[in-house]
Amino acid sequence: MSLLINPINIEDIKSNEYLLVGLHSFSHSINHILTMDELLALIKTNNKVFLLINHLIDNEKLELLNNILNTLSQKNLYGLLFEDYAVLNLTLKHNYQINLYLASKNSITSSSLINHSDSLILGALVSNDLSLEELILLLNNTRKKTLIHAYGYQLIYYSKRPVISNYQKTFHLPQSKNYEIKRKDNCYSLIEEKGYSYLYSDKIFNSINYLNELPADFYLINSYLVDEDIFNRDLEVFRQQLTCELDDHYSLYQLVNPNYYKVKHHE
Amino acid sequence: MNKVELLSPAGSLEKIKWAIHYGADAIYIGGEMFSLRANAINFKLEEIEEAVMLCHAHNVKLYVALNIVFHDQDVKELDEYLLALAKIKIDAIIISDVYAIKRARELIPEIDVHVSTQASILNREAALYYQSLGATRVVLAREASLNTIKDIIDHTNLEVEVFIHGAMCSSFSGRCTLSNNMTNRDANHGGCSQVCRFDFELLADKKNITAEYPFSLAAKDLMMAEYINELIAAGVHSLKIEGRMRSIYYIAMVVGTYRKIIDYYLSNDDLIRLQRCANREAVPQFLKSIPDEQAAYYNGRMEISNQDFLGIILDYDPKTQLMKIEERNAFEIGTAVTIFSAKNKPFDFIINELLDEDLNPITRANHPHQIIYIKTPKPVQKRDIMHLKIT
Repeated sequence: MSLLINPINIEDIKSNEYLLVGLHSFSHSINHILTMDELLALIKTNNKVFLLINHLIDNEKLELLNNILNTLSQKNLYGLLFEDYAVLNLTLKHNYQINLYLASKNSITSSSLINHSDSLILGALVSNDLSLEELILLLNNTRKKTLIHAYGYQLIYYSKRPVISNYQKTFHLPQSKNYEIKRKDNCYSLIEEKGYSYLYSDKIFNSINYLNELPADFYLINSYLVDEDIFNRDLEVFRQQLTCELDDHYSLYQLVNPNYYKVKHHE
Repeated sequence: MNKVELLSPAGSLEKIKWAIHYGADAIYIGGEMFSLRANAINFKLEEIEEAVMLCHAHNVKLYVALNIVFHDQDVKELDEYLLALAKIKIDAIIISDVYAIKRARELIPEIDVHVSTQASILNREAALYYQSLGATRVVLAREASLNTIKDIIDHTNLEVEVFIHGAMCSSFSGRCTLSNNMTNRDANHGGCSQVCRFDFELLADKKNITAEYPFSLAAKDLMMAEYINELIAAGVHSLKIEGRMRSIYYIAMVVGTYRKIIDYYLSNDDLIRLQRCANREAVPQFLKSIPDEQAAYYNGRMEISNQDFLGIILDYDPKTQLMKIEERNAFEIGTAVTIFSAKNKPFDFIINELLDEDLNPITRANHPHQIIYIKTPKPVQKRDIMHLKIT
């Protein structure tokens, strides 16, 4: 069991921890979205780096994606988490040597899917949209490596529509920044970037109280949109929990968004 | 040029009959298990068997959607269900879950596998991956442009299916958990509560900047009527209409109109009819460009509510020239109406005489499902639709 961290400051990562970063044009919803040169420099000195490629990939970007995979083949990248099956197909087609992990948002929901995935795939980032019982069952039944979302704002809407710009244009509103949408006293961060729109959960998802029940190989801690002080405080709690140094008072944290781990499947 | 398939949704056996009558080449339904429309009236196995027989008797194909993402407890029941579907000889299953696709190819190789739009396929390499799993068709993401559609057709051996009409997800389909997060219902497991159509306040730097109508993530509906020829020329195999929960009126109007567009031509009346039959504006969405503010929906500003649908023709007597109608919305003597038919060109007339069920003269038909007789200037057929004349 290890922490996989997308930190606020890369230098804060400890030697026994894994680092999650993104790549320009192919990643969203994390900090540290790097250029290819920056990524290559990073993995030269750090052999515990996961790369997240979580954009759905337009046809026009396939050539660039192929070049990236070619460059990363046989490099010192610990793992590549991917959303779009184009990554897997190109890797298979060209026999690239990359450690792949499934990370299709929302759809990694059964141990069968992970266990029967291509042999190139070493594991999967499991969806959060499972009940606690389902998640425990999946983790116990999975024979490949498992990663779970343990901390951070959760992406709940991903669109190719510039929804803020469209509203501003319709009603002639001035440009601003730091957008949120609000309903029933809950505020959700809404970010528009390069024509895409992303909406995040109102609360930080935090599974600290459940870690002992969730036998995953990696716990993903994502600092994206989290205030630095809060993130550093909470990261320390996770570190202590993994080393069994957690004091009782941390059980007072009630940080799990109540809608997680108990979603209803049918009405 | 290939013969393109017109693919209709249906939420009941009765709707299947309407879809067949109005010219669908294929129909897709949801079974009681593993379907994303938990609120629809989904089909029991024996009903699917009846649907297969009905469709095949009319040379129409029947596809069954199993398009949830599978959880461990679902997987336990998957094999048995796949075998049961194969036994009753459905033509294809629609799936997005990669394990379910693999299992279907192993267990029931005689049944085609269509990869659901929930898989969000936007490029040829992803399509080729599904081809390598044995899928025969991909239903592309609704975000795919015409160039992407062409490229995938040109570089794969897959049949390509494209949505041409109906409601749009605002998010990438299958990548949205608004419903899970805000209403505690799993969108990818049949419980979507359409949060994207909710009203919100928009805040900038914590300050409410909401304009005269609330902020919404909602998109207008999709309508590709003007681009059908381009899609056919690109080699699209199947043109799909969204809406397993829609009414028989919607199925008749939309399937009937697209049948006419595919087989003959597009008229301005067709465009208006398609715009009006769902009470929501419709645009081509991503086919030629990224949707701008004209493709967004803000409640109250642009909703169109109408009572166009006046009745269903149940029978016609050529001797008396009286058609028997089951009313849906009120009409009266003097109302200008159109008869929309699967077989004949639409025609208009003004109602001069109304008779009730006992053939007594009346001036107004007020009650939904009331039986009414009207004299028509031209013959009509069972399952023709009477709607308000489009002006």
